[in-house]
Amino acid sequence: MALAAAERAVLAAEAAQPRGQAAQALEQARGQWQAALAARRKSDKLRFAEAAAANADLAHARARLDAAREEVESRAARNADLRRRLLVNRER
Amino acid sequence: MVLRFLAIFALSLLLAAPVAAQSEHERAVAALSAELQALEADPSLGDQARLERLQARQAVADAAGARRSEREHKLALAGVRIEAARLAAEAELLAGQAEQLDRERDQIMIEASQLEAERARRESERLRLQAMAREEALQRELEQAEADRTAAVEQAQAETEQARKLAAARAREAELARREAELAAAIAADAIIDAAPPPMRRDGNRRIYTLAGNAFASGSASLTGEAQASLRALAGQLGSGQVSIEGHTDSQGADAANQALSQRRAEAVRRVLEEAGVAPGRLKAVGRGETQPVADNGSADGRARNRRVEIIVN
Repeated sequence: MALAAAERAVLAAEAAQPRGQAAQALEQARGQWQAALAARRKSDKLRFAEAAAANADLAHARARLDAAREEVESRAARNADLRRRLLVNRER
Repeated sequence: MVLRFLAIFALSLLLAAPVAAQSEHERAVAALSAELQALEADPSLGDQARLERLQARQAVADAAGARRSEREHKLALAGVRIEAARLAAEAELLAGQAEQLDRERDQIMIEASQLEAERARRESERLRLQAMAREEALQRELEQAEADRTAAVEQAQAETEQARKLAAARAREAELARREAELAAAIAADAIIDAAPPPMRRDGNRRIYTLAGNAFASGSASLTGEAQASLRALAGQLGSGQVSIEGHTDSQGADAANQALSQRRAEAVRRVLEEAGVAPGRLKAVGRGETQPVADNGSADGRARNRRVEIIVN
């Protein structure tokens, strides 16, 4: 169950197409998930799976944050351009 | 004694080590709890990322209750979960800001649309006023033109009336002069008691008397006294048939003037015959102008012969 949760978290993080620190966190999560799959002791499996899930969620959150920052910057620039055009149009 | 002291010291170290470890773990958990509480107390982030904050709280709780062998692992998990919760909260906050920017974009578009509408309304109003001004100017021009036309018509009417009165006065003056001349001629004719009728020729059953051009003053329709006396003599010889009086001119001058002069001369002859007792119903006066010459208009003699009045008795 912990392995399945970790797998879901890793796949969800991958779908967010993380870059930079987020990609590094995802890579760490992948490694932990692989380690969980390879571990022989149940306690090790559980520990690695929990770590993989947590780091995948961290990667996912960071990817969302990066995307949201870009979106805000893009929309703010767009609005500034619209405001400028409106101002020019008003003074015309 | 020394051995006893060492034994007691070693025992106390063995007993104190777990207590110290327990205290360090509790401090680490407290630090994580404080970090999570700070996140949840943040005015802008505290309401965001509910699932991630729940997972972080759970992880902190797990860390707090973890067995000694799992403490490090659980503490690390709690740290990661808290960081993930913070990042997720910031992401949600930014997503809200992105939506707010979209609403702001919509507001800008509305303002732009209102500006365009206002501009279109002003342009429409300007064009309407311009059209109204043009229409008013055109109306004024039309009214001025109508006034000018009316004034011109009135002026023309006044001038026409003035010309008519002048013409009437001149015509009356001419008529009076003519009558005066005819009267003078008639008085002169009364003195002539042996006048002969104009020379006559026959054309079938018709008798044609020809009054020569010298019966009138030059350019005039007033008969000379001799001519009137001659016509009075003719009146007694006309019998009871219809009498056609035809005036003729030479080709000198304009056609219309010659036509009018021949008509007036025929009328003058008719009046004399009427005054001499010929019934008016028998008499018909016609002007032929220069259309029926009897001689060549190229010579003075020919033109003199063409100037005539013919009294045709049927």
